[in-house]
Amino acid sequence: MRDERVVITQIGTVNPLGFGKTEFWNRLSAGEMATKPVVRFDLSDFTNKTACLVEEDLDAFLNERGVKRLDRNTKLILSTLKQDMIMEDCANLGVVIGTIFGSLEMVTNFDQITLLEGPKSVSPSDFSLLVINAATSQANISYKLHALSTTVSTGFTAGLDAAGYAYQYILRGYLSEIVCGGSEELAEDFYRGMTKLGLLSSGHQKALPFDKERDGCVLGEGCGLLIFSELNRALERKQPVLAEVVGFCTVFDSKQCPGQSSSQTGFYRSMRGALAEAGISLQQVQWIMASANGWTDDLNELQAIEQLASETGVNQPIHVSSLKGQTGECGGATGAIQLIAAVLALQEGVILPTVGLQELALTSKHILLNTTKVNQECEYVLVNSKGLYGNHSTLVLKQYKGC
Amino acid sequence: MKHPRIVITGMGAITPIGNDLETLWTNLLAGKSGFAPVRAFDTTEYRTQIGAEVKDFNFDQYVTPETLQSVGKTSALAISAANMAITDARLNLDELDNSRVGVALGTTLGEAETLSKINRMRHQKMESNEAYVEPVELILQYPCYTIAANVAREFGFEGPVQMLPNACAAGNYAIGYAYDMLVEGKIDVAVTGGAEAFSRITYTGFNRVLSLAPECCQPFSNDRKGIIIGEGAGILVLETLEKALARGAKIYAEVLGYGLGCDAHHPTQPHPEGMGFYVAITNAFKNTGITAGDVDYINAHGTGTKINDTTESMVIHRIFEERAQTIPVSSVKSMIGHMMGAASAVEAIVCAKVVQNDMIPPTVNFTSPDPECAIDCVPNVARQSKVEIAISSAHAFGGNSSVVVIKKFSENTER
Repeated sequence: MRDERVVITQIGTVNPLGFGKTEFWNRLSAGEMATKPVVRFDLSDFTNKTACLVEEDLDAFLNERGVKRLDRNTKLILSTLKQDMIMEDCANLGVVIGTIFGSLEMVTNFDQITLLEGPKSVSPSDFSLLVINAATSQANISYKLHALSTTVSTGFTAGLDAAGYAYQYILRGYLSEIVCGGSEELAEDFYRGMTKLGLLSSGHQKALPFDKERDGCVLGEGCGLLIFSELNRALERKQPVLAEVVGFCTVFDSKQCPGQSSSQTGFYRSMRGALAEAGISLQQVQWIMASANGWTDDLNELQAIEQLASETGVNQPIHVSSLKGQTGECGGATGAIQLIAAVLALQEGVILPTVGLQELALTSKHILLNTTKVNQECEYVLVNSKGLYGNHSTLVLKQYKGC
Repeated sequence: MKHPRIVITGMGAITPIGNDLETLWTNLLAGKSGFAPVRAFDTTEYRTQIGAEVKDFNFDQYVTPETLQSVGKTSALAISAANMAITDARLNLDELDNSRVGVALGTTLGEAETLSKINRMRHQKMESNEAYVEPVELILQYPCYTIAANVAREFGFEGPVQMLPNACAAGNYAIGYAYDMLVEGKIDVAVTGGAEAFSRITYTGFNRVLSLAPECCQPFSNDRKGIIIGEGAGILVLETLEKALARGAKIYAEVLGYGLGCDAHHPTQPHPEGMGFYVAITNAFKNTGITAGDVDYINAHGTGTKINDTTESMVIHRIFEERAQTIPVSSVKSMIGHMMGAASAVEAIVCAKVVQNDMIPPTVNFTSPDPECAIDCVPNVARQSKVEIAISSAHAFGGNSSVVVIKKFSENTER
């Protein structure tokens, strides 16, 4: 039995539903959907034309020399840190951030200029922004954080996997405090690619997780960051403890074809593994914040929960909801944004709904797909994340009530 | 806290001077370099024309034609090297609990060549006014996670599968993560390392920041002119000692642990005092319980740029003090070039061979000493030397720094 415990002491986010955690919570809990028509790039040849975007002028907000030349992903991270995080006494603060691409726009533009104008025409200073770890590193540079800088790139589960990395790193005793999470810009090529893969909603033009009529997801962008701390350190420094991280599991379904629907097995193994890590049973979990995003495999996730619940013999239905209809599927940021929402909900003593859900894809005696906010204290919350390649991750949060 | 010991039971490498581990090792000891005119694309408009490409690698031996068609080149290299390492480890895939096998890989730009391919197709269609149809297969091949996913899928691994693109230090980050997963008991076997295919984007970028040497890589030499871009893959199979002994696996070396740090200074320029390296090596000592006096060999990052090699030497002096001028420090980048995300993985493999054989590969192309690099860089000739503990250091754009600690394997060692 180890002594270390990992808790969350700060959260911050810049995402389509809020510039900062306060605005995010207000709009999220009011049931707002951030989905809007895209004007940032030309979608005339696409059938789907909506996304969830961060509207604020990040250059103006950051207002620093040299910021304009940075890529959008980096600006999202720096904006989140500036807006929400208290970065004091952080000599030993590590940084772990998940992202799918880093900056897809920078890499694409760099290559296009090489192609169209020749290799001597690219800007030398742009090259440093191409490496996938550039955005994370910029956070280290801005705040002089020498202890750790890791970038995790596991597709859509990257944000949650970065949290898992930070959790493991602290438990190993390497560091006692890490800012972790995920960030993703919505690059035009990301949008194009997802459209071509048939993953985006073209009929409803919005994401309806768990709904029988769902026809795809909606892309988003943003950044979510959390500061994980070893409990004793947080208490020594008299920091508020928002929640506790008690388990994390990530698995891979090697039978899944890339870009295809995730299997029930993948969801099941991820949740079961996380519960085992946390040393708890599903019986003790009041709420699962699902990875469902309006795509076909939302149903497989429900069936996996049903399977786990039947096997465990839970005698109370478990609330299951997804916020991706409201925020969009924000690449590497999503898992972190979900975590932040769960932490905020735990603090408020509520369970968030799935907004926009009208006709349930599955009814089960074990699952409650609430469509309105529920006032209920939770002891444990599971947060799920799924990727396009067969990867699944689950993190277990526990309400913190003192030692 | 006492925890399981972690050992290396299999290794596979595809490099500019050897398409397999033994050829690589033989050529490293012989001081052979792999620099030649770039063949992957036309370099006429570039300042330099030299690279360190993998030569005549026969993918057919390791990857089916169907797989080769459906993955990017970095993935193909990773799968092939993983195949070699798994065979080398004599892992029986049918007997393994696949849910307890994890994959952790590193890369710098991943499948950058795939992105270039997509851009060129798009451009070609626009030029000829044809309607452009996004190639769906290529889209799915681009995100760097596919590299780890492709390896996992190829062998049916179902544990944690993670991709850590920490640029030129990525391999060490992956090895560190694999080490932790094993120590924590999350997995029984880790397939870890790094891979990077030669890419136009990487070559163009380094050309533009004036970091490329025109002819060869000369780490620590007074007239060094920069890096030579390489490619390839290095994969290691790690297991707990207990499991390795139970199945009678051969053991190359022990991984004692690792340490990480960050310059937090500039996107490309190292911290003037080498802060990242200093923090990483200090953490490596703290995490593994060794001290500077225990280290018998340093496998340097040694890229061959003025500033990297000077900074690295400075930190070596700060940490090793009076031993700094006598402890052997060599850079195999003098022979294999800079394999980007694969570099530190291959360098960890080299360290395992070093402790196993008590032979240190040289830093070749060394012509004259630089007073700012006052270290013993094992110039030009391999050296026989007892090496109990080797450390491999790697640093990257963004200031990511890493040190992995490799120890000669001895079953009876108490920790």
